[in-house]
Amino acid sequence: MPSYFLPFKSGDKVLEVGGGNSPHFRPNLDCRKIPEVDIVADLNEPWPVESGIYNGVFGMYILEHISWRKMRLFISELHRVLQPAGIAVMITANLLEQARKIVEAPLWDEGFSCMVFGDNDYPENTHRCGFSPQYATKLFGENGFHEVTTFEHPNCKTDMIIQARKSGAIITRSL
Amino acid sequence: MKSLYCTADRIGIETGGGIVTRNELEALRSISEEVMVISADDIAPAKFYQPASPFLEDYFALEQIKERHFDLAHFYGGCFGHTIKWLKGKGTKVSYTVAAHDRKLSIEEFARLGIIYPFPNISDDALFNIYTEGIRLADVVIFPSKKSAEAKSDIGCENVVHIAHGVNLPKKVKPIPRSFDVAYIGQCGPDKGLIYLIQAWGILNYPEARLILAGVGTETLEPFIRQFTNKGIFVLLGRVPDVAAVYNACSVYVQPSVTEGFGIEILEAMSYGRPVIASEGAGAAELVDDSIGFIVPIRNEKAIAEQIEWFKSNQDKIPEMGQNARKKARNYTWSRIRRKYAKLFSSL
Repeated sequence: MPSYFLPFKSGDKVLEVGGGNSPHFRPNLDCRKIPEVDIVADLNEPWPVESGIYNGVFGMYILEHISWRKMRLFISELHRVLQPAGIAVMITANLLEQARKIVEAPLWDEGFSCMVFGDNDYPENTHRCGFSPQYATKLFGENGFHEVTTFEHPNCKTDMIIQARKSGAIITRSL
Repeated sequence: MKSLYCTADRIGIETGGGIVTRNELEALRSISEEVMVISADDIAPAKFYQPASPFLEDYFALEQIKERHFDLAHFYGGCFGHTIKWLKGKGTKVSYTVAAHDRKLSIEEFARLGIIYPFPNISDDALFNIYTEGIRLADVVIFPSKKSAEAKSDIGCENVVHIAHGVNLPKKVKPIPRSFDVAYIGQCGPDKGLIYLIQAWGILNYPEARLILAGVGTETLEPFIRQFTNKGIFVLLGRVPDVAAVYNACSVYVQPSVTEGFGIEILEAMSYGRPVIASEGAGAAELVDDSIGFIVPIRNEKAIAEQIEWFKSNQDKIPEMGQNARKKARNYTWSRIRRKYAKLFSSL
């Protein structure tokens, strides 16, 4: 990704979500029981992770694997585990751009099925939701994020990067 | 003298309207042999299954007084055109306290926040004309501030007097705390301009100082704060049983109202020896001079932030300005204000 730099600083505590067998950050929260996974959990349910302790959450091609029925819960979990002013970075498919590519394509091949429905190399590995940049911005905003920005993936026009910042305001309830 | 006290507020509850009505009623009682009281519960009966309406309140008030005679009737807020017309026909003298907001600013402020304006009796000119008919019929109209009295041309009333609201001076006041905290007490409606105070606090982004927000509804502001700012420490208390704890906990009090008839919390904060930053939209800003605090333009988070920062950088000035504020508040004790009301009532 030559023109997008992750917004995390050295020393930041970053949780990776859905990092599978090749996580970029640790701990790695994933549904598979494999040595590279530190916290095993169903990502469609509330996570067994403490609230407000991470400076960042990173997810690469995980968002599209979450059921659209559970997406608001997933985003609110992203928000919950972040510290005030923490940042979530989600790299995911841009279904709107994928649809444009399909509509404009003169010929079809299995690559389109793989792009839209997922790689399917193990049973859970299918896509279960899709986003346009505008919809992603709306959804993250509605689920608590203060600033949401989307970027076109520098190497793949049909993918995008969602960068969402939790408000840094600290709120308490007693004097 | 037989008198009537009539209000759409709940007399005596701990809101601006509740405190004012309690003291107005006491003033009226001090000069009357007998006072009939009609308040919110009497004119919006719980068992009357109709949507709340100020026009129905007028109907219920009128129904209750038709068999009686009054020498004097005093009204606070609400809509009582038919009731006052009937009283005037019977020779009753009428006074009316109107803590008017600037309705143009109020309507604009709801629109800025994307909230549908919920008071058609204010936003619709024809309904507003009916809503304010009683005020025009009154022998004297009392505005609590010069700012509020600016509404007289919109309402079309004459014979206007100006009596500020009052305050009960607290006997015990804690010294200004060592930590620098800022407070606001009140409701959260758009007219209160809280958005500008929240944004100002975000601009300042102090690492330790807290913005204390107390009053009904402030406990629900977390999503709103997160939407409008990324920074700052906020304490959301909701309704507090004892406002003294809040005034005593702060170094400076801020009232950021876009439009408000008076803003009794300004006077309360002064009585606790706290300097005040008040917006031009708050009627009680007329009590604030540069020996007590600052007046800032409405809808101006940068101006609020600048004045808070002045206090943060000049904390040694806060106790003296607070003492000036308390000294000035002594001129507005409820016992004095009640005497002004009683004098006015007696003169009618």
